[in-house]
Amino acid sequence: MTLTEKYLNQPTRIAPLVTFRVLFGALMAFGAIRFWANGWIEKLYLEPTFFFKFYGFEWVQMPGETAIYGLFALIILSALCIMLGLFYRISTLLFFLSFTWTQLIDATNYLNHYYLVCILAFLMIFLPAHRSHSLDVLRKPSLKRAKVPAWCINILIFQFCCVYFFAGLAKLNYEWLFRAMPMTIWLPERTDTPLLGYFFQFRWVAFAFSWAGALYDLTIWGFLLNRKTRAIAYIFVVIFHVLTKVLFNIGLFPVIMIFGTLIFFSAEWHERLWQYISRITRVKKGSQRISQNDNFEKSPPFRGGGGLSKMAITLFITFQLLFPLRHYLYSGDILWTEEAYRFGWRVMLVEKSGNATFYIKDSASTKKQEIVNGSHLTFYQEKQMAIQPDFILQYAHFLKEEYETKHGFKDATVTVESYVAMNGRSSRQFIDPTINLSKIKDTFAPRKWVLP
Amino acid sequence: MRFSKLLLLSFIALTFVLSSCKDDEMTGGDPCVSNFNQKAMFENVADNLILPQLSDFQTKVNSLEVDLTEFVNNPTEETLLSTRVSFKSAWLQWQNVAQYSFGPAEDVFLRNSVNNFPLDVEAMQAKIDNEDTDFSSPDAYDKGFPALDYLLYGLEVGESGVLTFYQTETKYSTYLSAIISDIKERTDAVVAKWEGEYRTAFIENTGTAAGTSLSLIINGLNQNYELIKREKLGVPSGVLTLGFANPTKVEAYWSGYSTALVQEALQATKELYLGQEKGGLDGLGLDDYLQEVNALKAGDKLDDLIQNQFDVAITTLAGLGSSLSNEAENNKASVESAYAEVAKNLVNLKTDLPSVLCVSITYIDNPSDSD
Repeated sequence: MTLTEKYLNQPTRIAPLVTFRVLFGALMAFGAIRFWANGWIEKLYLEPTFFFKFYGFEWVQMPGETAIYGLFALIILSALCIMLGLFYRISTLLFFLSFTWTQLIDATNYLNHYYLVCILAFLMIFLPAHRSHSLDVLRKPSLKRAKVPAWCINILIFQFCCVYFFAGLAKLNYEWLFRAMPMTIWLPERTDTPLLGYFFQFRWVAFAFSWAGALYDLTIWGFLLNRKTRAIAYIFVVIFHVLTKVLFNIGLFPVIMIFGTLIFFSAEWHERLWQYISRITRVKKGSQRISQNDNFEKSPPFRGGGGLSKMAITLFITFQLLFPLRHYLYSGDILWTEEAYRFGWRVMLVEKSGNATFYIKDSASTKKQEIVNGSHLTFYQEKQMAIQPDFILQYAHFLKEEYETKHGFKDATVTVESYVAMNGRSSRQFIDPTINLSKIKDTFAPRKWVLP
Repeated sequence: MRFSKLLLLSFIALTFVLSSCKDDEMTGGDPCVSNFNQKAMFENVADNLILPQLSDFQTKVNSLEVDLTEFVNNPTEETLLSTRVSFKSAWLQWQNVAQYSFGPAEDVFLRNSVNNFPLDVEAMQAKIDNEDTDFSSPDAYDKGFPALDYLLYGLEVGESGVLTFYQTETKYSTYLSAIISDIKERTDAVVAKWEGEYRTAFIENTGTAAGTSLSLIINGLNQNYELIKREKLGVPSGVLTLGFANPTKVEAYWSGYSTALVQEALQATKELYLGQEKGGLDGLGLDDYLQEVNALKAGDKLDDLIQNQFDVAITTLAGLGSSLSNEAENNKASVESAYAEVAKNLVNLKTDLPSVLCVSITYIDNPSDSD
């Protein structure tokens, strides 16, 4: 059997995919409801008047007050449909589009696990996860399949491996390993944690956590892949993520990983899980059990062997392997410059705070002004802006625009006095204060205006 | 074996990291770990700064209330003048209290209730006319000392002009009394809590997490410092408004002693930083904490930088004329330079100080999750 046959085309039982679908849908619906109930729609979408953008996605707009609630309603509804396997194709597409839209509105709110959700949602559009244990099958029994091509499950496994590995790789830096930063700052803030809290006052514990965390991220996916170590590895997954949930304000990420890594388990394991669920929920035997009649061959659209889909899969994998590494193309400390920082699984990696004071000058007169950031940004946006060069630049461009249209400035000059303190150190100047930011364009070229 | 390969891979990666090692510019041992006695500092701040300052403020609010009541019952030039005297001393003392805006003070919105400025004269006039004395909204600018400033000095030029408002109409007297009782009520509540259980809780609340006393002190200091910088100096000077000065937006526009107020506020900030009792002993404060962790900034001692800049700013403020409004109108550059000197310490206090003490600035909190 060729590698392609084994990892892409080999018929594999669908059960892991079904578990993944149900948990993913349920968790996403819960996440959106939680977001809404916490008042974060108001705080993150309605309060700001200015939004930071991702490079290339400047065109994605905030849809308006009523529409943003509509968008979240759509996320909840489509996530529930994914969970139930109802109108699956359209639901996954709608979920992907609506969720990604909300993420692209304001780059301030970027979180690695939201990026992960976008990727998983994108993949699910193409995965036949509704072909068993779903309302679609109930609605249209001919959809039912017992097996899917192996790539449908392997691509998810690959994605979770990527998250762990690159998160681990990112931890292999001087700050993390030899100063135990930012754990040294964060752990003593949690000394009130039951049982463990007492230990967090000691520096060696921060070192232990840093090294254990790095080792965990770098290796856990290997232990999950191996059938013999899988069960123990999963216990570690649960312990690790529960611990991060207790210690840090990281929302759904631990749950996503605890649920998501179930995909590493064998089809037999998942089938037993579903049989167990049927038993305790007293669903009539047989009705939900996966049919032994393998009609896999009737579903060629899902076969990975076809030229086009094979190419797409290769492209996806290549992208996921290379994109997080793009920071090697830049010189400078990525923790400081944040150049190529996002979309690289750099999770909880640094503690930073900054202060940026902008000055705008009219070229045609002596008019000048120091900017009160609070007039344009929310506290949280200001906090994020002060430590991220691309935000500083976007904001400078916004100021130029604003003062040229509203205050009659001509060819306005925008400069910034900015200082950033990182990982328990005193601050250093961040952006070259002599540079007129309104003349700088953000590109993929190294940012010479960021001080080393 | 796959796992030994994995481990090998990690160690290869590690050597890469080691090769890119750099020297640590922190010299004073482990960052974020120190033997500094937080409790002793909190005790000093509570017993020698916060409690005496609050109690002094309470006394001054009480005598202001007595004088105001006397004035309202018997509006003469004599009662007006004595009210103005006690008003000024209460407002000056407020500057020593404003930075303790956490805990009990936060519970009753003390700062917003007592000193939201500049006053919204129109909104206040509407309230006076409607005999509306509801001061529950912390976002309103129609109450507190700025309102008293207007009602005791600004209604009309000259004492006799002001007096006619109280001699002919009761609604002004009613509003005046309502303001002082609101200030008094909130102040009493704050003092009662500090004199009750809060003092002990404050002293015991050690650590660096959000909500610990260290974080409260640093946050309170910084929030107030930003108010001094922006509201008291920045806005009047015009640096924030295209260079057009705003002489009417000073803190005590009608009584005209804004400069004294901002000087008092800056002095109070420095004293909190030092842990220094008013006119007395310099006890344990943030300066000692910084020395303990041996905090450096670009080779200099951070504590030295902060103290020097406090002194420069205080000296610059001392050069301002007594009416900040006049200065903003006729001598803008002097207000601008005062602003600039105050602004220079902001990064030290707001970014460096919390960073080297490993405390987060919590009044800018993540509204949502982080990762």
